[in-house]
Amino acid sequence: MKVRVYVATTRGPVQIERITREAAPISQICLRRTTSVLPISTDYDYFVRQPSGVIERILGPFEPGGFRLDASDEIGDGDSWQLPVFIAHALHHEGCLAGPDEVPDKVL
Amino acid sequence: MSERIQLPDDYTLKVAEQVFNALVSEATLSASVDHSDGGKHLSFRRLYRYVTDARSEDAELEAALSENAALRADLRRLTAKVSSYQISELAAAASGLVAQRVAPGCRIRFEPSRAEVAQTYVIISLDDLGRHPRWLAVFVDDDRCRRLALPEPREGLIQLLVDSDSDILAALRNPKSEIFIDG
Repeated sequence: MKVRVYVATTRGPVQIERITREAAPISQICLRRTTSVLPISTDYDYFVRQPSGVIERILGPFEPGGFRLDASDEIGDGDSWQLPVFIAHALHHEGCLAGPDEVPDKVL
Repeated sequence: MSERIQLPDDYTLKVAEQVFNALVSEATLSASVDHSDGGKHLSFRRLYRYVTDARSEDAELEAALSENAALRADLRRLTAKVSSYQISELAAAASGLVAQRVAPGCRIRFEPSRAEVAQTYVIISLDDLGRHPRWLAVFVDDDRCRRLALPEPREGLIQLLVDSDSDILAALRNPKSEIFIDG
């Protein structure tokens, strides 16, 4: 089953397109698969990385490195992104996160 | 009859000396760079801003730099003076693109992105976790300068994502380039 996850933002829904474990150590959120890194990436790295980050603590261990999350649009300030990003990581961990070109069975 | 002059105390003398040095530096920075630059007056202050604010754009200065080898050499010398880390050219035997660049207290390595093959991570590791460099400048053998604004370090690590075919990455991985980072 494939599940597509959106982050609700004040400018509309933003799709989490892809999550990749990279050899680079700092986790980042990139815009539409480009080299443009969103400012919220610092918070995302804290959210991911042990000891403070829940992703590595709950879903890990992972091979050395960090995560790259590709989003379909900007995600601004605030913490509302945390729950959908956590769900997306959990789905990715199970191989169930739908990519932008896949037809999802469910949409969150 | 002689007049008695009250000499300033050590603290006042020290402050006066600092003020004097600051004024001399200000005058030096404001002075025009003495090159035949087509009549344009380019001050060291302008070169300094160009180096230390990698986000700034100065089309006129860049045009002058592209035409004037002496000005490029000045920029390189100034960058060397104000930088904290200097990664020198590699030994003559080195050729091709290098996997890492190293200097005392600083290392730059390159990791290809697994998600996007056309993108590469540039990872700068600093021994001193208290440092917060804000810019990087890289010069190749013709003194041409590429600049990068650096994001805030995380526990001594600075990470950038660039296109694998970008000029800046080619320059950083060129064994003949010289890299400067502030601190």
